[in-house]
Order: sequence, then structure tokens, then C-alpha cells
Amino acid sequence: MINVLLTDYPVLLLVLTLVIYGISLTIYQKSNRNVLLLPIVSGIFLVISVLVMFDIEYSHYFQSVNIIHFLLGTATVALAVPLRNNIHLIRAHAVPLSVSLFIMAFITPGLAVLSAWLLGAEQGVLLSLAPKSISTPFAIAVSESIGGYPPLVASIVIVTGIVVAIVATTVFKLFAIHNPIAQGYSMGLIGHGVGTAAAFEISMEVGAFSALAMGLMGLSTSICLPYLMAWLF
Amino acid sequence: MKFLVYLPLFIAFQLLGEFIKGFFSLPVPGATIGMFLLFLFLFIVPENKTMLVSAQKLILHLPLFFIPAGVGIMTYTEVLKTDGLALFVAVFVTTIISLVLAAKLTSHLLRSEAFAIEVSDSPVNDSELPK
Repeated sequence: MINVLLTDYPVLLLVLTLVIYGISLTIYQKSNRNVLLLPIVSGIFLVISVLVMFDIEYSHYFQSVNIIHFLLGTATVALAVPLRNNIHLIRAHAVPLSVSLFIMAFITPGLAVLSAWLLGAEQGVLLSLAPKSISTPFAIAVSESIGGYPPLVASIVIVTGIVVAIVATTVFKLFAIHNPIAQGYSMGLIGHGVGTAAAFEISMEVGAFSALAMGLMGLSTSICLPYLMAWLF
Repeated sequence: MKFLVYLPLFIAFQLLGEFIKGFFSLPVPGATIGMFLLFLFLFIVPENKTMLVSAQKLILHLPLFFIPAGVGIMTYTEVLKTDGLALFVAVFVTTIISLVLAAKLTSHLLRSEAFAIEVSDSPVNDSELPK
């Protein structure tokens, strides 16, 4: 019964997603911001549970909530505003930020591909892992050009971002990273948009540098990665 | 609800970005092109308080906007069976290592930059002192 309803009225899936997000957000805030209860984690988990329970196909779900996916692009565009707002800081630190970007653009995909290769993953999986630290639309564009599995790439990218969102504050405490610029910049370099969302929770400044790093990492990786992969394989 | 005023502006730049991406068949996402164009636009028309609040509200709900793509994980249970360990290590372990490296590297570079500025500044200060 519910299955038929959800299939015939796609708007219900939209409402469902919003309700689940609302619940996830409330739980997160009530839990004193426990990182394991990040709304993106519990939200995805709860939606998958409902879809599996009522046997609804992912493609149908995605089409029904396309407007939410569209707003991901809108929010990405909006990142320009805090970026412009922090331009004086970005200008002041242009050299170290560029050097850090250049080094991490090679190390991040390199480490991921190397570790999976050592553990015997097949080539398609290796190629899908390479763009894991750049935001989903970049990653899919890149993986199409180097030959990975685009839907797997999207999953890997999001889980990577979630890992960054969960461990970031602990990592910064353990390794004594107190500089908000370094905190934000590293979260954006490795955790793209999901990391950036978490960075904005720390502060606007941390978030702005994460947004900057996310954009730069996406740009540089989509230019460098095809060459790096051609050299590796 | 005042923050909704700027939503059409962001969407306009998003669509402009998508159009440019399609027109020149660029490998860069349309939204990123839109972000870059809005960034440039803000040098001509500076942002105001409402626009900043508007962007913040939207950015605050980024986790919601990631849900549709994130739910796609459900279609990849097969790969998890064959290459599960490799994926786990690559996604969990190396991500943490990369984050530590990125944070350490960036904070180190920022610190050495601050030091370099101090060093290059000091002779100037010294030469100014006798006068």
C-alpha cells in the first residue's frame, strides 16, 4: 500500500526526505552535536532504510527529489559570498595556500589508489577512488574521462566527505592544529562540500577557507588527475 | 524569509554556469563556474549583509542537499563484497592520513610564511631606527 503511494506520488518522497532531514537535524542538535549523528549520516541512512523497506528503486527516488539535488548546485554558487567576504585573508596567504594545494592534489589521490592497489582492488575501483576528494560533480566529470564507475565515484566521494566531517575536530585537537585557516583549508582539500558544510559549523572563517580549498582542489584535480592516471596505468 | 530574496541571484549564476559548461563542453561542473562568476561579480557589486545571511542559510543546509546523491550508496553493495577491504582502507584510513597531512602542511606553511615576513621586515625596521 505505502509502496504504491510512494511510487505514484513522487512528492511524498520529497516530503519524506525533508521530514527525515528535520528529524536528523533535531537529533544532532539534541545530542550536543555528536559527530556520529551528523545529519548527512543519519539522513542518508534513514532514507536508505525507508527505500529498502518499501522496495523503492534508487533511480525513482533520485528523480523524485531532483529539486533537492538541484539546490546542491545553488548552495555551491552561494559559497562565492563568504569567499568574497574573506578575500583579504586569501590574498594575504596566497603562496602557502597554493603550495599546499599543489602538493595535496598529488598526495591525496596517490595514497588512496596506492593503498587499494596494494590490497588488490580491480582497476575500475582504483580509477573510481582517484577523484575521491573533489566534490561530486567534478569527480563524476573526471571519472568519466579517466574511466571509473560514476555512481560508485559519487558514493566514494560522499563517504570520504563524511569521514572528514566526523574526524576533523578530533584530528585538529590531536595534532594541535589551531590555525582556523589551516583547519578550513584542509577540510576543503580532503572533504570537499561535505567537509565544507562541517567547516561552516566551526566558524564562518573556517568555512570560507574550506570553500576556497574545495573549489581549487576540484579545479586542479580535474586538470592533473587524467595525466597522473595515464602515467600510473 | 528576507533571505530568500537572493535565492534567484544564486540560481541565475548556477544556470549561467551550466550554460557555459555546456556551450564550451568544459570538464568543470556548472555550479563551480557559477560560483566563480558570482565571485567575480561581487567585485563589481559588493555583497551586503542580507546577501551574506542568505548565502549562510543555504550553506547551512548543505547536508540536506547531499542526501539524494548520498543515497546512491545503496546501489553499490556488490563492489563492497569483492573489494570491500580495499575500499574501506582507501576511503577511511587514507582520508584521515590525507587530512592530517593537509592540516599539518598548511599550518606549517602558514607559520613559515609568517616567519619569512618577519625576517624580511626586520632589516627595514632596523634601517629606519637610526633615523
